[in-house]
Amino acid sequence: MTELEIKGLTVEVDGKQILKGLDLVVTKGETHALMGPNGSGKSTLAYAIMGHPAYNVTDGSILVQGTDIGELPPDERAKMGLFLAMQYPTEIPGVSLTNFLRTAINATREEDLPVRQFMTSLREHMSALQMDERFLQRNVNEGFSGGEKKRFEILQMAMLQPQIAVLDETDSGLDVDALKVVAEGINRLRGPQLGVLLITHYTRILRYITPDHVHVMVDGRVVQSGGPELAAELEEGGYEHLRVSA
Amino acid sequence: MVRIKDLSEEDVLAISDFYGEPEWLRDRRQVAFKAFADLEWPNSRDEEWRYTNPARLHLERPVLLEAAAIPARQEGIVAGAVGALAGEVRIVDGGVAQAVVADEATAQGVVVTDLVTAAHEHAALVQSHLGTVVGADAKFEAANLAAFTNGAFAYVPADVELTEPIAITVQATGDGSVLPRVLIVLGPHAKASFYVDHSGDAQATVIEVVEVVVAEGATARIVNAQDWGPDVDHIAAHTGVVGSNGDYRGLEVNLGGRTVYVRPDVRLDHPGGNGELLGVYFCDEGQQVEMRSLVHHNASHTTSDLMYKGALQGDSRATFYGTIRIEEHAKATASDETNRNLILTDKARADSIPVLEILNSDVVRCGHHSSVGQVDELQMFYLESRGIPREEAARLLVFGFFGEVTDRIQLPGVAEVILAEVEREVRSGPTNLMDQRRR
Ligand SMILES: Nc1ncnc2c1ncn2[C@@H]1O[C@H](COP(=O)(O)OP(=O)(O)O)[C@@H](O)[C@H]1O
Ligand SMILES: [Mg+2]
Repeated sequence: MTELEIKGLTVEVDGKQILKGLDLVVTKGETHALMGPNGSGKSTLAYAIMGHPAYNVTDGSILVQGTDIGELPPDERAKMGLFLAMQYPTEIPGVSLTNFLRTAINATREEDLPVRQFMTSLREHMSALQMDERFLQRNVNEGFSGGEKKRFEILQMAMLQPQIAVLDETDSGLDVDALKVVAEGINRLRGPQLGVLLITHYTRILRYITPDHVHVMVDGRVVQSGGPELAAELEEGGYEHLRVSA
Repeated sequence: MVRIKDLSEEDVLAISDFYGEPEWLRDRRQVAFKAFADLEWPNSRDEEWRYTNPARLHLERPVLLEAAAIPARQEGIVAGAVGALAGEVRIVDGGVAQAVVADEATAQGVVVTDLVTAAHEHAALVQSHLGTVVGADAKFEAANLAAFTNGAFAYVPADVELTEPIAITVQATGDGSVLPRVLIVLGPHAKASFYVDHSGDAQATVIEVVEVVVAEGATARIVNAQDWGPDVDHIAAHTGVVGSNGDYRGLEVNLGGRTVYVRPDVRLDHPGGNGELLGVYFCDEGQQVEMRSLVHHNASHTTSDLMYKGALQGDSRATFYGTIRIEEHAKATASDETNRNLILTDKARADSIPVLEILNSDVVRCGHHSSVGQVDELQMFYLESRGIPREEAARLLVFGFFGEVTDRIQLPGVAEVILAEVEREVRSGPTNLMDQRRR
């Protein structure tokens, strides 16, 4: 079943057109890698999918299970099973990680998860991501290192159990060990119930996560799609030759 | 009928007669009245009243001298949050309806009673402290000293440490003006906490003084919390004077009222004294709150730390005007002042004015931080993208904002009740947060 379908999407930021008619389909059970040079509009796509108010959809549509979500606020999109791991997660002073997660889970499930069950599941996922118990005392992303922020994004994904996860450069800024932990975390969550859109600038993370499909994005459009072999090509030749051939 | 706006010497004498006061106290009132008569009424051209127009204040309401019956409903915020008390004074309208003190506390020499009784029974103590912290230098302070409508007195002798707090509740149940006065005295190395709680839904004008004397090495923790109804005007001086190595820790909670003008001050008159002033305020539709604080470093090696945080919604206004004054002879002081305001909806307005008056160069530290801002849209998006609806996301951010202050409140139960009140306020207000980008 098609979970996420993007058709002819154009998006403006500050009156400037960034996405220029983008098409993409992500189905449950599949992992798609979306690659492209800096500034090609990858994060813009991610924000537009999640409904960030600064990203204006001027044409085209975003469908989730056939429903156009263009008018829905971000929280409604989350309730439909969308999740965005952000490239730059926001620090929220004063809001504890535990309180935040519980509020988020109860809101997306639309019923209260018993505290004990919540804590058990939280501890399990944290230990799998090699996150210290002390994180529970901290505020959302406040003072987290780059790697800690990325782990926390994946922890949220694990707890919220989305149907479609958009991971925006979850690999950037990680050293090799952290990258392995995060990639394993993502791999554990992959399965028939989850579709993943893995946005990345580098092919590095694809050594640990093998995508079913690879798309290349240049200047606000998908210019080429293929299998995992496309990533290998990119590793060899970079984006430059693609831009020419596109 | 006695009215504040045309208070006369005869009125003052009549008030003294009504309470059956000792002669020395009547004389005090008369001296204060002379000061009152010599002072002009504040007007909006005065620097001190630039942000709160005194014309808003209802000074024509008749002064109430009698204590009304204790209301059946337990109102107020903090006093209800605590369990056992070392003592309690309940001021209802123009008098004291009840004063009790635990036997254990009495055995240690603790006094908790109404101010007039104290003037008779503990004359030496009251005589030497009344009006020494807040005198008759300004119009409303002078009005209170001249015409106070009874009040509370609490005394904790040297070396006594109270584990349970003393509660003083001020309730306005009848329409009119009241002038309650609270005098708290801690002897050397005494330790105690006080919850002064203000509530009431009447059309009332409350001109209040809470003066606290902290002797050498003593520690006073004092909460002044108000959750007035929408028709209450409140003008107050809440001041502590700190002896050497003494510690005054004040918390101001301002949630209700129509026009509120409070002066939370601390005077560090002796070496080694410390003052901590914390504040939480929440303003909504129709409210104007001004907190005009003075932290006075008047001796060497004194330290202070002030943090006031407030949120506003609806057509409301808050002013924080905080002065740190360091005298020329006050060497090696350390002080810090922070005021932050969170504007939740369009019409609300906050002014944040830190003032540093530093008269010597031998200062260890003197910092100030001030801001007026809206809810951060990046933070909002992050929360919303996790499925949290906008209103709830805003609430989380408001709590997070106040956490920096409420986490520092060491009195058991107090932070929780304050946050619960804030939650109630946020829920009751307009839900469409300021955001130009949204439909
Ligand atoms: N919030 C924003 N305000 C202004 N310009 C933006 C904003 N977000 C993105 N852009 C612009 O849109 C283009 C694409 O950016 P982005 O989507 O972040 O690309 P990528 O993630 O592929 O590096 C860039 O030119 C960037 O400067
Ligand atoms: Mg990006």
